[in-house]
Amino acid sequence: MQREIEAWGISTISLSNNPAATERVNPPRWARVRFPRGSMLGEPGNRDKQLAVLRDTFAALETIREPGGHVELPYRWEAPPVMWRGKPLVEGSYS
Amino acid sequence: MIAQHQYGPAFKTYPWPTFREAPWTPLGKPVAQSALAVITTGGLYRPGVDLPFDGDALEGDWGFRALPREVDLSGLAIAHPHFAHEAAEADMNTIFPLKRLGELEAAGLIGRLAPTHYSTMGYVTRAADLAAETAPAIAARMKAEGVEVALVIPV
Repeated sequence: MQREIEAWGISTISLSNNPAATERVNPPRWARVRFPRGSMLGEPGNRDKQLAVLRDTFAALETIREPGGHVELPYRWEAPPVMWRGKPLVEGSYS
Repeated sequence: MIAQHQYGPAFKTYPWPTFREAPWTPLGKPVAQSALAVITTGGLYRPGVDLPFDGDALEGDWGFRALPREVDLSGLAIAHPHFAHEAAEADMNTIFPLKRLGELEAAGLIGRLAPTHYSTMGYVTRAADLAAETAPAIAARMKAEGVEVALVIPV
C-alpha cells in the first residue's frame, strides 16, 4: 500500500511495531513504535504521547534521505498489557 | 489452516511479498506546508453509511473505505476481527489519529488535512489485489485532492 502511494508521487511514512515484517516489504520510510498491535500511537487517551509520536514521525519524513530509511521512536507502552485470545500481547507480535 | 484460525502455521508457508528496492518520492516541501492524508488498516467504517469489511472472509477483504475529515471518530466501527479492539474503541486516535492531526494542522505543523482519509482492513492474504486495485484507487483519489504527504498506519 505505502509503496504504491509513494510510486504515485506522494511522500509517505508509516508506523511499525514489527520491524521484521516491515523490512520484508521495504517501505520508503518508517518509524518504529514500541506499542502492542492494535494501538499504534500509544495508550488510549494519552493525547500528549499521540502528538509526540506524530511530531517525531513527520520530523523523520523530513530527515530520512534514503529509500527504506527508518527511525526508532523512544516512547514505551505505559499501561497494563493488551490481552489477545487470553494471552498478553507481545510487542511486534501478531499473536 | 486459516479456516481453523491456525494463522501461525499458515503464515509460515505464506508467500510474503519481499522487496529489495523501495520507491521514492522526495519530500517537495516541509510537512508544515504540505497537504496530508492518513490511511489506517484498522478496518474502520461508518455504520449505516459504509458497508462493513468482510472480516470473516478467509482471504480477507481488500477493499477500502473513504472517510471525510469531519467524521466523528467515536461513531466509527471496526470490522477487523484479527486484533484487540479495546484501545481503539476507547480512543480511535490510537489507530486513526484524525483528531490529533487536526490539532497539528491548527498549530501550523501540518499544511492542511485532505478532505478525505482512508481505511482498509489489514487482514488481506490477496496482497496482489491490494497492490493492483486498492492502493492505486486510494493514490488516485489522494492525487485528485492535492495530497502531497501520506501517513500509513498498519494496525
